[in-house]
Amino acid sequence: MRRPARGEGGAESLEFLGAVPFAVIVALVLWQILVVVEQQAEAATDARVLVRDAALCDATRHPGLRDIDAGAAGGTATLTTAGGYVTVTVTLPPQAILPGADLNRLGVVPPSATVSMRHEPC
Amino acid sequence: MLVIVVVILQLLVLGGAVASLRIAAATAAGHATIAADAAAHAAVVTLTADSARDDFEITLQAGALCAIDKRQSVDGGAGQLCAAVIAAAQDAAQRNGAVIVTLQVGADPRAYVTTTAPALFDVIVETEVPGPLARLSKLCADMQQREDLCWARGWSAARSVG
Repeated sequence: MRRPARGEGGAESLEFLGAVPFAVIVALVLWQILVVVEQQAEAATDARVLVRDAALCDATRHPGLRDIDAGAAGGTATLTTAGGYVTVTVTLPPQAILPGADLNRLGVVPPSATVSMRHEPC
Repeated sequence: MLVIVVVILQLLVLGGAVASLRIAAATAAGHATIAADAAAHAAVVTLTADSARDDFEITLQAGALCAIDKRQSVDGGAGQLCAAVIAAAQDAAQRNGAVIVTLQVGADPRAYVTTTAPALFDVIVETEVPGPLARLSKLCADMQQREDLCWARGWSAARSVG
């Protein structure tokens, strides 16, 4: 290993300091991706629960998204009936790990899931 | 020192890629399960709504088959109601982006001990959806160990209530 020449002392520390932000950014991006993927699974679960209820013959009052998932603030659930099928689409606002970041403006596709079930005849 | 940071970055990216694949596979499996739910439910709804269900139940109790098994090229069974049940299940699976791998319609065992109850059926469905590596068809054709990365499967069952 070469001994640092005079005046090179601390160069490695500076390189390290320069590279740390990249490592932090990569870690944050990975974390953000995991959060959005988790929300995708949450949207699928919500859509599944809602459509199972809506497909019942004797469903008199369909629960709302907030009734089944208190954490789905700002999300939307649309219910359509056609051709003997009930279809529920749940869309959640992408949750940013950094406060104040607007993922919609960054072009992140909102987590969304659609589930269809045959409507029970009465 | 820079080397350590580069190694950490590489580990982060590699770990992230592997984790993403596993998460995508788990998400696809959840998707397949939801589709299986819908298919089993559609099959039971079709059975419940059809007036020929009592005759169909007797046919099943007599040993007739009403099933799909893609692995063994079984598709269909006895009677029009069986065809309608299979069509309804396939339609429901397709609407949810999946295909049926296996489907089995059977008479509920409780129907064997009573003659007055309405016809009872059990339906078991297994579906599959493309996994995260499904587009790499050559890789998937050779892959035996990790085929869950190519095809995600889910199953569900439903029972008619008479």
